[in-house]
Amino acid sequence: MFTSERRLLAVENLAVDYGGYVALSGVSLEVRTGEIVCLMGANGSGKSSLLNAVSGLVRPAAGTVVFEGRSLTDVPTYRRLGLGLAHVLERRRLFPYMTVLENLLLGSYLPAARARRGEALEQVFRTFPELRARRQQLAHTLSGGEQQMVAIARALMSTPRFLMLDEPFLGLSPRLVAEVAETILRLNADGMTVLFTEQAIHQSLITSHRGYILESGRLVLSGTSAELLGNEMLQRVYMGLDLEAS
Amino acid sequence: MRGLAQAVTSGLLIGAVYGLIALGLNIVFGTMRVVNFAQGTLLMAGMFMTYWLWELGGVHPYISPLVTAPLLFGLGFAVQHLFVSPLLARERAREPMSVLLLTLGLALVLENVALLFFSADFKTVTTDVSMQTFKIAGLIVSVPRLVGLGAMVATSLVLYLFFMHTDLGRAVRATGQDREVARLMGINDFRIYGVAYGLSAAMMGIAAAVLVPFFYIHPGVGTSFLLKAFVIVVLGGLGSMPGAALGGLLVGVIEGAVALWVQAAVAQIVLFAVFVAILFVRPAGLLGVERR
Repeated sequence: MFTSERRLLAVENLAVDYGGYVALSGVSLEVRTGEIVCLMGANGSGKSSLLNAVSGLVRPAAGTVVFEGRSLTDVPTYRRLGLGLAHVLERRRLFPYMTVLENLLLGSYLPAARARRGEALEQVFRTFPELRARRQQLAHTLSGGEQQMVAIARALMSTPRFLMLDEPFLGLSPRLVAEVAETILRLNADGMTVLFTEQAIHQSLITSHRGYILESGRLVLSGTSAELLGNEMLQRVYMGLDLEAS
Repeated sequence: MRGLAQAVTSGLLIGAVYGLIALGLNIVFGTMRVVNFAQGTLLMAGMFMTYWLWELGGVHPYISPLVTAPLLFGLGFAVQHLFVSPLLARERAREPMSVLLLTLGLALVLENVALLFFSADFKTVTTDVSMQTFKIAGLIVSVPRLVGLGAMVATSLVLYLFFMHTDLGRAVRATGQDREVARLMGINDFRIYGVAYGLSAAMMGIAAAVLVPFFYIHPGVGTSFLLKAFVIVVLGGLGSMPGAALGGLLVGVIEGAVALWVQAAVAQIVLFAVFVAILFVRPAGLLGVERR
C-alpha cells in the first residue's frame, strides 16, 4: 500500500441536476495518488452521477472537477481517457456484439495506447488469465463475473493512472465479489489509484483506504475505512441494513 | 424454365445495386439509429456528378468513383456536421424522430434544388458497355449489370475488412452499440457519425457509377431506389450488413421473377406482400438480431 499527499482528483461543490431532479448538490471529495477510495450509499444516492460527472458523461450544474491539477470543465468526455482517467460503468456495459478481444482493442483505441497495444494486452491477460481463452467469445454471452473482468481489463488497456469503477460487485456471487476485490487490491499494489462505488458498506470498507457516504445527493460521512468501520452510527444505520438485506 | 432462370439472373444483377444502397442506409442506421431519408438523394447527386463528369470531361462512369466517392464523402461528412450532429446532440432519445425528419427535409430540399438546376428531363449516358451482353449457359447476361454485382461484392468485402480489422471501423461499430462507452474509450462519437454518414454517401458514388450506364438520371431517381432499400434493410435485419446484401439480391430476384407473369406495377405489390410475410415470421428480419 502506497499513498502520498498528492491530490489526483479534487471534486468541489459538485452539483448534478437532471432537468429539475437534483442528483447531487454541494459534494466535495478528493482522491490522492495511490489510494483506494470508496463511495457508498443506497440506490439513487448519487454515486453514479458523481463518477459520470468526473468522466464527463453528465455535465455538472455547478462545481469543479480537477484532475492532476487541471480543471476538466472544458475537456470533452472523449479526451478524458487520454489524461489517464478510466471509467467502468455500472453493469459493465461491454460492446455486446463484439468479441472479448475486440472490446479490449477498443480500450486501446487512442493512438498513444495503440502504440503499446501488444504489451498492454499481454499485461491484461496476465492479470486475468481466464480471458485469454475467451478472447474470441462474444461479450454478451459471458457470465456476469467474466463481463466485469473484461470491463476492468478494457479500462486497463490504455494504462490509465486512475480507475473509476461503478458498482463493480453488483450481481456477482460472493466468490466473485472476493475475486474482484482482490483484483482491485492487486491493481492498487501495482500503483493504480482507484475510486469505486458500492452499496454494501462492509465489503467496500475492507477493500479501501478511505470512504465517503452519500445520502440523497449529499455527503453525510467520510473518513478512513478503519474509522468508518468503527463508526457507531454507521454500524447502526447502514451495516444493520446490510445484514437485513443479505 | 429458361425464362425463369433468365429473370432470376437479371433480378440478381439489379438486386446487387439495391443491396449497395441498402448497405449505405444500414451503415448510418447501425451507427446513429437514424433512418437516412436522404440516402436516395445522395445517390441522385452521385448520378448527376457521374453524368456531368461524362458529359463535360469524358470521364467513363466506371472511373468516376475516384472523383465522386471522395466528393460525396465530403458532402456527407459536411451534412452530418452542419445539420444532423447539432440536432443529434440535443436529443436524448436513442432513435431520435427529429433527426429522421431532418434527413427527410434535406432530401426534399436537395431534390428540388436538382429540379431547379437540372430540370426534370431524363438524362442517359450511353457508354461502350451500356448495351453489351454475353451468353452463358443459354442465359443472357448484361455486362453493366454484372459490373454492378462485382462492385457490390467488392464494396462489401472492403467494408467488411474496414469494420472488422481497422481501429476506425471497430470504433464505428462500437459507437453504434453504445455511444456513451465509446466516448469513455476516447472515441469522438460525433466525428464517427460524420465518418459513417460520409462513408454511406461515398458508397452512393459507386452505386451511381454502376447504375448510370444503364439507368436514366433524373432528380427523383433516388426515391424509387430508397423505397426498395428500406424494404431490403428491414427484410435483412436493421443494422445487419450481410442482411442488406442478401436482402438486396432477394428483392431483385423477386422483382425479376414476378415480372415474368404480371406487369411491373403488380410485381411491386407482390414484393411488398412477400416483405410483410417474412416480417410476420421473423420480425427482426432475415439476419437480424433481437436488440436488447
